[in-house]
Amino acid sequence: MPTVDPRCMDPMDTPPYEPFDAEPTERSLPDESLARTAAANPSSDRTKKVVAIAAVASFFTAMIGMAAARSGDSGSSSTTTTPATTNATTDDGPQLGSQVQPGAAQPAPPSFGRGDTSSRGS
Amino acid sequence: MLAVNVSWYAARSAGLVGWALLTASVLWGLVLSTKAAVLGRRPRPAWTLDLHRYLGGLATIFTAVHVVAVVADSYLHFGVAAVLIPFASSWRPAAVAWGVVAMYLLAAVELTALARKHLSRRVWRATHMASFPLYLFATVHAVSAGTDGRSMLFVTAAAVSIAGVCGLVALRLAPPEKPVSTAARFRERVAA
Repeated sequence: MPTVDPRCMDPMDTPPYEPFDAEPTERSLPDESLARTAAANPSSDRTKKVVAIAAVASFFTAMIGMAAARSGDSGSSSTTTTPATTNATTDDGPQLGSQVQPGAAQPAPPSFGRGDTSSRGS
Repeated sequence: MLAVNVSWYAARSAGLVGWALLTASVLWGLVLSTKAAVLGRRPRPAWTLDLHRYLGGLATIFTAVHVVAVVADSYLHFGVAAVLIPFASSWRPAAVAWGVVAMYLLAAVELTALARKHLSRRVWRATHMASFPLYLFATVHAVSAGTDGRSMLFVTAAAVSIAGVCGLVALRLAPPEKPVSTAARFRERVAA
């Protein structure tokens, strides 16, 4: 029977992680050395930069998109409705000063006291 | 318009981005623990762990921005108590409570992850398992309280992410296959 040098074994021949209900063991959890290895890896830094830039870009894109959508709604509604009816456009926010009890119906569209007649939904 | 409603838009945007980052962190953690292949190849554990931690940290930052912006917004009238105490909000108390509880779970998971070297494996592991209810509560909060929670884009993203998490959890819970070593395969070939 031939013998196999352990150094020639497939590095993927490691046991899988233990099931959820198993006792935690030292070898089954990610080693701190993994974090040290990754921290010294330039590709890891690149990935993190890309993720951070994507997250911040998504944040501002969403903000601008919401503002643009709101402006579009205001523009279209101003041509078809009077300011009084514009107040009744769909809004998912709470009514100013309202005390909504648990289980009560959704709050009515709010009216704004800021001098503008638009709602803040969408 | 943007200047007037900046805190409102910031609250909504930060909530959406924070939820997306939280989802990515949960998925990445499951990829790490299941050793699942991504796009046909198995990512290096060190890189996966590092990115998992980074995504969790970013999710915490955007959640903090979300909470601060909600409190700062003059329209919503959310006091500090409303975002810290479940059911203290007069507006949709149950929907907001999901988010409050999720925030505390996120804080617990992140703090124990940062202090992992000083904690026992058992404590860290038990706390880290709170990531699953955290993800569930955050998703319910986004759908029930979020202005954008019922938009088709968000509902689709939520459905895809829930399917991904459920699939990886099923993979994680499946009984582990007995590994067949190269040596065993070599012996089988020789015997044949």
